[in-house]
Amino acid sequence: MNPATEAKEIAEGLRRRDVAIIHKLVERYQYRLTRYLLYLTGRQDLAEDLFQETWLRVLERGSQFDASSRFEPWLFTVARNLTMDYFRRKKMVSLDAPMESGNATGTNEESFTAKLADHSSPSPFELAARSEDAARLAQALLLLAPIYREVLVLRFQEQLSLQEVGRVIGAPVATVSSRLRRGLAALRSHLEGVAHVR
Amino acid sequence: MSADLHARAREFVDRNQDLSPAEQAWLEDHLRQCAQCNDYAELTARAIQGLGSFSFSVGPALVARTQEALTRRAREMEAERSRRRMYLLGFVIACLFTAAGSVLGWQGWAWVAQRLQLVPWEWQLGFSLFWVFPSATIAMLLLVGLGLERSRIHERSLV
Repeated sequence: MNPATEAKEIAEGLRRRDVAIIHKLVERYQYRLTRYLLYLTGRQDLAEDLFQETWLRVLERGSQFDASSRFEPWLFTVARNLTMDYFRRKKMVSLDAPMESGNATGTNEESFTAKLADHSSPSPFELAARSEDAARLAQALLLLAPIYREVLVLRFQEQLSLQEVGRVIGAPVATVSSRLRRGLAALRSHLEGVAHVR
Repeated sequence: MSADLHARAREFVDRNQDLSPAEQAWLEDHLRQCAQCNDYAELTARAIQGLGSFSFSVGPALVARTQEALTRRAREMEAERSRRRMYLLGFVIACLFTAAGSVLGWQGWAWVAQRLQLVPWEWQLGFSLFWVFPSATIAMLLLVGLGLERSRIHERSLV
């Protein structure tokens, strides 16, 4: 099915609040949405809660989906907004707050990560690593601020364009590029085992 | 080679395929000539490939739980919609009764008042108290009920 027709069908189903269509979407996007939420939160339990909340929000606000655009960026935007709301309610550091300038493992980011990470058990990244490089990257991802992790997953796993990533995170393309550069720099430095790649 | 060219090449590498054909050709040309930027590109490719080798687990229970919650919520929303429709319908009917009933009732009360030889302000006051006021109050209560229902839904969506 061509993407435009598919988006139209999804939009129509969401407008009618057709539960059968949403059930199919849940199945189809289960892995990708969970992965995005894991990158965003760094926590399995929280990602699962937000996964469910995201689909409930899709049911409630589905009529806002514009059939002229792709469904995935809209879905990730919904998930992101809910995650931001969650952190605001918990009075945690905003996802956007840390690290706009300075080092990718700065003070704000560390406190944020410390709040998110449960050090007594392996992180979802460590559990999901299936190669030696991935195991190294798991360490880097855990130290990286969520705002960098999310652009990495959206760009390199979801294959969204820079413009689409910008729409999801509500930031201009220049900000997306800058976050990608910093995120990749952190990953490279862990792969090399040195502080920074210049 | 100027530092600007290396910086440009690395920026293109980080953008990873989000390049125009001309930019892609320039990058490939640069990477052939510059070992340092080529190493940078290889390390970046390894990092991106490494991200792809994560395999997160999604329990089937999560999907089932989510679908169950969706079905439940859809039913609740349908019930809310029916309630809202009932309130709205009730309000419209109460308004119609107030308007149409008042026209008919006015004539009836005027006839009775004439028979009983009541002064106009007496029967008009009685008409307002026992006809217009109750039916208008019912219409208003239905409108308030509709508003409360809406705000309840809105509040829940904020939680």
